[in-house]
Amino acid sequence: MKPQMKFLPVYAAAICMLMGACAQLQSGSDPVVVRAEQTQTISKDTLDAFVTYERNNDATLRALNPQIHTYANYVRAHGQQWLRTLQAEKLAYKNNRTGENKANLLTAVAVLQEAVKQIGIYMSQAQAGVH
Amino acid sequence: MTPAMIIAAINGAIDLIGLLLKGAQAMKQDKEWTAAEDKAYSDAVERLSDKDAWKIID
Repeated sequence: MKPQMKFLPVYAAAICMLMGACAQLQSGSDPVVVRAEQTQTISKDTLDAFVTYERNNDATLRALNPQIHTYANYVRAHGQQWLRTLQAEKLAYKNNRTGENKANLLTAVAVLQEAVKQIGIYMSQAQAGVH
Repeated sequence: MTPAMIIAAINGAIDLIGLLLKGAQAMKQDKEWTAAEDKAYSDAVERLSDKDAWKIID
């Protein structure tokens, strides 16, 4: 299982770059909503990939850095709620595009972007521990 | 490296390349989701906890 570690940091770095990229939006589409939905897609897949990878390489990763396991369990405990919150805040904003709802939506986006970033950091540490 | 580790590495690489492609596809999104897409996403989020990898074991 150890060789898989070489790929996750590459993935994490690429996802970070992707999250900064932007497509040209169709007229009538709210960029705040579309960016939130892009974050929803990427963060769900990233969180799922991280906990799966951590479970499949549990012993090796615990030996490298026990905090990776701790963070994986933190994601298991809270990740679904982060994703649900983002969905709920997005729908609230779509239904009533107030400044307050926009701020709440952007906060929910930031929570998940931070989680994706943290996963990238831990997996980079895992990679460094392998080499 | 044992044959099993090589296979695991290849499988891991294929999985992660798939995730990268999905991420790149997501960034091409140019309009808001439909109600059906919103529901599909919510359903997918709810299914996460059904997976063994999402269960907390110490």
